[in-house]
Amino acid sequence: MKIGTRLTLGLSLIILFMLILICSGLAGMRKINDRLEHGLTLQNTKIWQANVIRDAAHTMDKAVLTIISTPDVQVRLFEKVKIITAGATIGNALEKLESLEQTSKGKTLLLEAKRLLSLGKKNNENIIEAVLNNRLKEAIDFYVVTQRPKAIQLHQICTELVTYEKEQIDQSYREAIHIYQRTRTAFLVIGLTATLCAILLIVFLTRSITSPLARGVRFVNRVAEGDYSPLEEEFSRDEAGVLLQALNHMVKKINEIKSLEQQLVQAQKLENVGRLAGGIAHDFNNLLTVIGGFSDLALRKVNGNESLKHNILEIQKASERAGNLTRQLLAFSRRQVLEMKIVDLNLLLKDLEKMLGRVIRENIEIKIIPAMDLGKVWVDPGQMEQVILNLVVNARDAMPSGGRLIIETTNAEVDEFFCQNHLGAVPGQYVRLTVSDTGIGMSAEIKEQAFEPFFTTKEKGKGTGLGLSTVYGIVKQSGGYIWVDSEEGCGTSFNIYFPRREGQADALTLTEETRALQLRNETILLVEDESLVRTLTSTILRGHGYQVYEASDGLEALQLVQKNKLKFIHLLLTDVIMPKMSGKELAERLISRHPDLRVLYTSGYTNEVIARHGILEDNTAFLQKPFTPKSLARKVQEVLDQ
Amino acid sequence: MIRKIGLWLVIALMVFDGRPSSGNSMELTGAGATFPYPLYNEMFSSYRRQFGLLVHYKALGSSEGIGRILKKEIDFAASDAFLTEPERKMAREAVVHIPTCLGAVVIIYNLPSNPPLRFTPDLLADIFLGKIQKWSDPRITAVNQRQSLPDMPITLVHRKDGSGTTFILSEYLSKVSKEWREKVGTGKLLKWPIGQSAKHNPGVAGLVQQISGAIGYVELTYALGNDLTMGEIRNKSGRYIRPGVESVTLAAQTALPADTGISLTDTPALEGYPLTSFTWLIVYREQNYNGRWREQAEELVKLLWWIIHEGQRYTKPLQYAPLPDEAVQKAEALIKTITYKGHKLWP
Repeated sequence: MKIGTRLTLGLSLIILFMLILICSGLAGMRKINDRLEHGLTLQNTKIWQANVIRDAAHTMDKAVLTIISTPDVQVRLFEKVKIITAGATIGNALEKLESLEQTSKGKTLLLEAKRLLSLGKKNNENIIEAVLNNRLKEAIDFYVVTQRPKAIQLHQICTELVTYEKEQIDQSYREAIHIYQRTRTAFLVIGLTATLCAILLIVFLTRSITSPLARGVRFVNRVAEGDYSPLEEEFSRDEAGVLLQALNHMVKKINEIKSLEQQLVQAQKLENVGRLAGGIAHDFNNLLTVIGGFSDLALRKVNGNESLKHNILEIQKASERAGNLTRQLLAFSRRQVLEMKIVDLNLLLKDLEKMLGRVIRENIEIKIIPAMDLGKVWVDPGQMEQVILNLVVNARDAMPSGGRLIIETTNAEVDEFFCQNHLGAVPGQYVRLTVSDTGIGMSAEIKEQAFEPFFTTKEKGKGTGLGLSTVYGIVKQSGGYIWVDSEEGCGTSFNIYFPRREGQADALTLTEETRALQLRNETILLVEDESLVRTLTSTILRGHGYQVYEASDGLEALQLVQKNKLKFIHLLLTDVIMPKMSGKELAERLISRHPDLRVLYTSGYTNEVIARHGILEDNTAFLQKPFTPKSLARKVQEVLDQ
Repeated sequence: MIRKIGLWLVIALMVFDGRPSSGNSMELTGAGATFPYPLYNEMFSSYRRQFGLLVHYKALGSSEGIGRILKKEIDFAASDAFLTEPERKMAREAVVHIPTCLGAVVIIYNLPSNPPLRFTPDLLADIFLGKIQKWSDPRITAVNQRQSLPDMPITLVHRKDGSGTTFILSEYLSKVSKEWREKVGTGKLLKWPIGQSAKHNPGVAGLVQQISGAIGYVELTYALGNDLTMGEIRNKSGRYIRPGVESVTLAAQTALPADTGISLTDTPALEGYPLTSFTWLIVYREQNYNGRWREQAEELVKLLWWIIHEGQRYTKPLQYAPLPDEAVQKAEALIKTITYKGHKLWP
């Protein structure tokens, strides 16, 4: 109920209380008044009538006496009329009194008066009869002995009646006083009750208005102190409730903003770490290429020195491991070169299913739920495999005592609302890949750090802490989003969104190429500013039968071509970023002269940097450093055979 | 002893035989008007002393008397008003109205020092209509300029029972006041707009005596007997007339119809009192009803004859006016029409 309505209602009720109070008071007073008035009127009438009887009886008595005493016939006649009149008057008064009298004592008195009157009438007739018959002495005797006492008696009865009625007046007055006192008490009680009710009503009204406001103040203070949890309880429907609701809504919004901020901070942190890792990785790549390359070459010339061979092999193993690490770091920092294709994730999952089965343990049930009519995505299938594999391994490790692992694909639409709560998301059509487990789950803190490189909850030596970082980097680099939902003890699910891409899916070619390497004789122009890498690369290529010309930069390469009048070069293998002239520029110049020239770029840098040099076009061949002699040979052969 | 019992048996047989063995054991019963009651009281006691016939008369008011004669419970009724048409119809058989005397309805009042007052007809009508409520009203003082009237409320005292006296007053007021005629009208029992009521003439007289400021109406004898002050009323010729035997007699100086049913109020006589009326005894023309004996009817006729002749001497001492000669003649003729089983009772 609105505060206004409540106030109106409350005040109306109070007014009503007061009105009832006034009315009941008035009614009580009126009742007393009526009673008093009625009582007084009644008793006064009775007294009056009793007096009438007494007077009339007296008149009658006097008339009889006159009749006895006067010899005048005319006087006697009128005295008789007087007696008739008095008799009728007494009769009327008695009748009236009988109709009014209700007490038994009064009735008894009336009855007696009536008896005496009728007796008196008869006596008077006898006396008059005697007088008229001139039996005067008899009349006098009769009057004195019989009638006179009766008359006195009647007089006394009337007096008694008057006294009695006066007593009655006193009594009814006392009764009225009693009623008055009772009414006063009742009025007092009603008054106090009404006042109490009014007070309670006021208190209740005030409370009902102030208490939600106080709650609001407490809530705001709490928020100010840093506790941003919103109110869960129901709000009243009045203005105070609306205010509270608005405050609550504001706090919820603040929470959302804070969450986004956190996401932003996290993203920035990952970005910074990525940049650092990427920078390190680039230099490492060159070094690792050299280490790996030369140890490989050295191995070829060991010739039976088993101890030396073992040492070189160890170097090789270490360099391979280091290479893997840098690759992962590059992946995380989104600086690796992706070979984007239109991919049907369902097909990809189908191909992977067998391998995934090998990765997980027996106590884990794996289930793949592919969506019907799943949209295509624009990703590097090889990296996609890496993503899925990493997530599956992660899920496996989260379920040490077994559980259920679900990989699910769905078409998903990302709307504005979703974007509000998910930093960086853009509305549109997406394909969602969800990997869920029923494992131990993650606490909020762990969730926050999950994608950071070298963060791991696993025992030392068991995990590199780069698995989820790699996933994060690949997804981001592919233009997708990744979010984690996790609850401690219940499990975790990773939701990855890739923008939907229209088109026919490309054929999937798995990275492991089984084609045999052949001995070749094509001419390769190698341009590499890093001398160690250049030497290694040329050594490897020559080992495979290629004729290799080396240059340390673009200008040198052009001069080389001119000086040696190289008419035919099959392949240009060039670093992308070099002083003086970029690999791209060089390639363009040479292609203008040798249109059939094939180009293979190589770089320790990542997509971003390379893209700035205008290289990452769809049909550009690219080899990421560090490369192994084998991967170099295979890539070169692949480009030449196209 | 046995002889004694035998004597008692004879007496008992005589009593239970029911036939009146002598005039002395005969009784007549009548009831009605209180207006002539003091007169009838004298007349009947005198008649009893003279002829030994006991006449029971109950003064219960004209209406009650008429009611009882219509039920044929009594030998005669007394009324100051002729039977009305509906009453005649109820009677089914013919009745005769025998006038017995003339009386006056007088206006009595009870005021401090009881000044003699005069009333005009319309003043009376307005007082009884309740339109004038104070004794000091200018309309009263206008006709009573020599009197100082108190600033007192007027208390009307009227009859509670059906009354011939009321009939006479209301018949008069209907004649003189159009408003009265329309609002109240003529009747034995009226709907009074205001005032207090009492039973019978003496009741009204008694009540007026008891209430200061009261005004009422009774037969003249009650006013005189109780020393009540009466008002003078202006008659048709504009004179203020004191009620009395002379002014009443003057009012009756007019030709009478055969049945004597005439209204004497508002008389045109110069000195006639305007509230004058005959009062009547009402008997059935055919006396054979309700198992009555012929002797009873004969006694009744004898009584009636006596009343209109010898009985008239009791009127003046009580200030009733005796019947004028013409009225006596008409009454004689009426008495002579009374029959028993169709036989004339008076030779």
